[in-house]
This record gives sequence, C-alpha cells and structure tokens, in this order.
Amino acid sequence: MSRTSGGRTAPSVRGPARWAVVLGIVAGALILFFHWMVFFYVPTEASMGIVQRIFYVHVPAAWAGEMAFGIAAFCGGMYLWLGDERLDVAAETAAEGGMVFFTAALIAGPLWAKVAWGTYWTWEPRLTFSLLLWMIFLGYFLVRASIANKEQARRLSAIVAIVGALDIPLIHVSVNWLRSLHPEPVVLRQDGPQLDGRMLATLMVGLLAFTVVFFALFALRYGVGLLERTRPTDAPPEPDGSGLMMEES
Amino acid sequence: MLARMLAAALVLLAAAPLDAAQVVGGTLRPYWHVFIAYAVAWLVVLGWVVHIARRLGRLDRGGN
Repeated sequence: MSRTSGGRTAPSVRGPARWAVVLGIVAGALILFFHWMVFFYVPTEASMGIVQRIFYVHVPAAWAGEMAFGIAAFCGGMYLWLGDERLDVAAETAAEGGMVFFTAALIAGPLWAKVAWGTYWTWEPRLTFSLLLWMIFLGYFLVRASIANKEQARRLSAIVAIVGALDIPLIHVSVNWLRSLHPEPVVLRQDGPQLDGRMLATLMVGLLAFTVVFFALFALRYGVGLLERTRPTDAPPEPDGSGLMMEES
Repeated sequence: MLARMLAAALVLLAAAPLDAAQVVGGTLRPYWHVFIAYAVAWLVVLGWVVHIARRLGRLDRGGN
C-alpha cells in the first residue's frame, strides 16, 4: 500500500502489472504459434473445407468469454458477501473481458453458419441462449452506468452478473436437451474427443492462447481499475444521493 | 473466317464469367469468412487494449 497525492491509500498495482507483462509475453508467443497451427499445420476438414478453420477461433473465444463471465459472477457474489472494493474491480474487469471475447465468438460463429447453414443467424436454442448471455452482460454495464449511487450500482450489477452466469450451463446443455441445429460437442464427450489429433492439438493451443490473452489483459485492466478507485481523474464527481441519474428533468 | 473467330471469341467470353462466378461463389468466398472471423476477433481484443490504454492515459493526466 502507498499514499497518493490526495492522501488516500492506494493498493499496490505492482503485482497485476508484473503479471500483465509476463502473461502478455507468453500470450504473444502463443498467439503466433496458434496462427501457425491454424493456417499451416492443421489439416483441412473433409466435408466443410476451409471454413471449418473458424472453429479454432470461435470455440476458444466462446470459452474465454464464458470463463470471464463466470469470474465476473463469482467476484460479484464475493463482493456482495465481503464488500471488498477490489472484488468489484475484478468483477467489472472480467465482465469487460467477457464482452470482448464473447462478441468475437458471436461474430465468428455466424460467419461459419453462413457457409455451413446458408444463413448467418437462426433462433435455435444455443444461439439464443448465447445472445441472451451477451445481452445480460450488456445490461450489467448499463446498470453500472445508469445508477448514480456507485455502491448501489455495484451491488445491483453483481446480481445481474450472477443471473447472467446461470445462463452459461443452459448454453451447454441446450445442444443435447433441446432440438438444436448447432453442432454437438466434439471434445467434451462421454466417448472421448471425436477430433483428429492435429485438430485437437490446434484447438487446445487456441484455448490456452485465448485464456492467457484474457488473463494478461485482465491483470492490466485490474491494475488500472485499482488505480482509478484511489486516484482523482477528470471524471465528474460522484453524487451523494441514490437513484437513477435520468430521473430529474 | 473472321465471323467464325468472332463467334468463337464470343463463346469464350460468355463462358469465362460463368467459370469465374463458380470459383468466387464456391471456393474463394469461405476464405473471406475465415479471414473476417480471425480479423474481427483480434480487432475486438485490440479494442479492449485501446480502451485500457485510454483509461491509463486519463489516469496519468488526472494524476499529474
């Protein structure tokens, strides 16, 4: 802990900064290796052809997004319980990362679907639950931005994150439990992975690369978030009253 | 003779766009889908990096 010019106690950001640098270097190397695998190493799938390579970015992006939303919900829940502001910073950071990676997955998936299904979008269960998850976390940021009382905004957004995370299992079981057009899992199956060895290796490297990229940026953003809570910025002062900002006319 | 050559040329010209359309529609187009999917994914991540950098810049201005 150190003292800032405003006299407030600032949490140490050396730890997150160090992690951001180390993970950033590892992430850069993994990204390069991952793209070499996708474009030069992995064989082209027999029935779908070149467009199947979207799978290697879609699945890791969806994984990183869902993991981030899960972390946001966990940290949000812990913030509700313990009231530690650092947990709220972590929840907000993870929710941001979740939006980033899940948006990438929601764009990559329809690009594959246009070639495979002939349409960018269809309201089948997994796609619908996925869009719902994205919209719930969009609501998370709307709640934080629209409520003037910061404490109230943080508590309500934590509840939104927990509700959003409840949708993640539904996304996964929807393929098996409901009539779904989305391809069934090819890795997490009871009878083992149904992928060629090189395809599985490429997917695993992709999952690792996206995970490390997420945690590198998470560490960086978390450090910035901690500094923002303790240092004065040019942002408007926080009002004392509670309620929505737009309620006065 | 000239008429036959013109006719043959017309046949070739008429056939060529069909082949090109088949290539574009059937083979090349998915390459664009793959390219856009990867480009958009990394652009969105880059957007987050820029967002974090802007927040850090704002902190620097506010702190100095």
